[in-house]
Amino acid sequence: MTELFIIAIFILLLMGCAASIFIKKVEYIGKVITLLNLGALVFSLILLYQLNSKIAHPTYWFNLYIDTLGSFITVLILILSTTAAYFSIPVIKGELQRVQKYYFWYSLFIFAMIGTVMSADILSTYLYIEGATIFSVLLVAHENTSEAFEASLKYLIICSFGTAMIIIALTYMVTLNITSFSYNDIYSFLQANKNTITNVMAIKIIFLSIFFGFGAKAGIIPFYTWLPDAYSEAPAPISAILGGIMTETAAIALIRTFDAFSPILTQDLYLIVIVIGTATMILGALFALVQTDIKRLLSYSCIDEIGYIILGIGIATQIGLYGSVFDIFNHGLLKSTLFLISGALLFATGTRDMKKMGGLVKKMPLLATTFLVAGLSMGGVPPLNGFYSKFLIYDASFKAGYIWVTILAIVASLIAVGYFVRAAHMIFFGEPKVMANGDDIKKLPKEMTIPIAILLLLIAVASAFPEIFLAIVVEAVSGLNSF
Amino acid sequence: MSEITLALIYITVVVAAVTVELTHFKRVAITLTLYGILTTLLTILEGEIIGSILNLIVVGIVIPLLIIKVAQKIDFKEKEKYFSTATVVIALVFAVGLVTVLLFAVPVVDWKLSIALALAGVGTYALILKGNLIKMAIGYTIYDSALHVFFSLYALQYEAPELLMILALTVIDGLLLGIVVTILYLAINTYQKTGTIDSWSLRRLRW
Repeated sequence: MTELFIIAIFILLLMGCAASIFIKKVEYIGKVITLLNLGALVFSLILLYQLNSKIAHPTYWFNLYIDTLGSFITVLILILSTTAAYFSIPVIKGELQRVQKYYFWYSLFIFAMIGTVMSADILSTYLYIEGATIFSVLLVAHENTSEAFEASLKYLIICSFGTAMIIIALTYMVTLNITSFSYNDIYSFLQANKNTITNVMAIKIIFLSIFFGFGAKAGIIPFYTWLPDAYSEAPAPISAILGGIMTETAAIALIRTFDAFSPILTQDLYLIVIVIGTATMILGALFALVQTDIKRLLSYSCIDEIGYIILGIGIATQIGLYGSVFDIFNHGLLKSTLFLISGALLFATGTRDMKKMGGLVKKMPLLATTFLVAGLSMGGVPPLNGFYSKFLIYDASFKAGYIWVTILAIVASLIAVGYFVRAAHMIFFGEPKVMANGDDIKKLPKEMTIPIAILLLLIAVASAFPEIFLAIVVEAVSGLNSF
Repeated sequence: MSEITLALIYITVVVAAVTVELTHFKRVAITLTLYGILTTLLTILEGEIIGSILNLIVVGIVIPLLIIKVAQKIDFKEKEKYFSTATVVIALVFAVGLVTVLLFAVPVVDWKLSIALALAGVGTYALILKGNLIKMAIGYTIYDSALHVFFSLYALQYEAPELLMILALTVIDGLLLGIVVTILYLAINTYQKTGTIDSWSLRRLRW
């Protein structure tokens, strides 16, 4: 039964590819892709409901494993892909061929990301995540500027170089006589043979290769350099998808592999993850603090957030994972909203430089409200949804005895509040700067305001009723082998 | 390790090093084809057939053809028409030295790991230090084929199931082709936009 829903989702996304080839009117392509993504979202919601309320049980279908964790993130992917596709309509204009190319790669990109979070084995995850890299690189290069080409090349080469380390992990798994790359098979094998495996070096190489392999895609230290360029040079809807989901899919792949290898992982290896997570978090927060380009600020904020998610995974307790999975959801929602706002600001003012903006609150009250709410939520200010996930991570690290890490995580949160308040002040408050008479500010089309309003509503729901989402997170984590 | 394998290891790494140093792209395509044949021979000698043929098709045939095609679209200037004898000689000495150290001076490294490390080293060198975008595509090809050789040699030694090997090697080579095609596509677009494929002169963003 569950297979049918996932087949329907994939068929709708592939229909998006076909539609982008066969529809010859530019103004219709974006609308059709939005509707197809919306249809896929409906199927994913039914799938999540059935799995979460135990009407259906996790199943295998080809190389996919359809469980609550995967379907939860699939819902997030499709919410954001639908809103971003609708937002793309006024942004992606011009020649028919370019628009067709954009939506063709867009549909394949979403397809590959859903494949990544649903993959049942490491090899498929590697295939889908690299596929997603290639499709997103083509989307980042869509602007046809030399900066966009440079950012795309940097993104492609650093990510592919990093994720290829997964092959090293697969090779060392073969030397441990692991003859299946399926997450569940690996877990069962290691659980049964954990006392007989003596090749400590192979275990460490596997662990670090996987961690740095998927970590390169997530933007951890030292692979983060591609992220601010790629995210800031991409068209705004693609930045929203990249910032909102792409790094998160890598984090889901990390959660699944950590779970599979949990029987043989030792404390020193987890400590490496915690240190890198904390360093990534602090570095991202400090870099974000000094940015004046709104998209670069949001990109560094992504690095900051991925640090929290990695930290939650590295703590390796139930609460830590709850925090990580909930933070993946919250970060996806909030960061996409903020990237869409940056796109709307670029459309209205023609600049990404916050120093040239100012006093826009009167002209754009919806954008100002949403920016403040999403920014404060990203900083973990109660009672917004970002607070709950961050609090779970603080709680987990404190209870696990990592007091300094907890303090640094709280400090990074405070820095995040600082840079979002500073950004809000520069953009929306104070004296109007470049647009002295206010007449030059373009009116935002409904294709831009509706997605932002929908996402604001979702943030409000997640903040008012976090227990609904936490219940899904608990169910998703309980589906993992080690819990 | 037989003497034939030892000779093949040296020749493969030397050919890889020369490939990243040559600057005339027709010659690069020829040496890359030779490199594809040599890596295929290395794995075939150990008894791995299907993955080796795939490697030969991707690294030895398709990618060199793509490089020739892309090079035709790009109008090279001065020094790119020639190759520097000095750098090729340095590459030869470096490659031979690297393999010798890895094979005979590092006790924890066996010959399978040696060939993988040496090839991955040459590929990484081209990726990081060669500004030319086509050279970067070649560097990635060598880096990825090192992982192909690494996986197939160990999978054979530890008797991994054949289906698992074929699937893994297909994914490795398929993605290699996808990534190289994307790099070359971006190289052509960059050239059309900026008139250069030198990534050092491109750098407007902060690295």
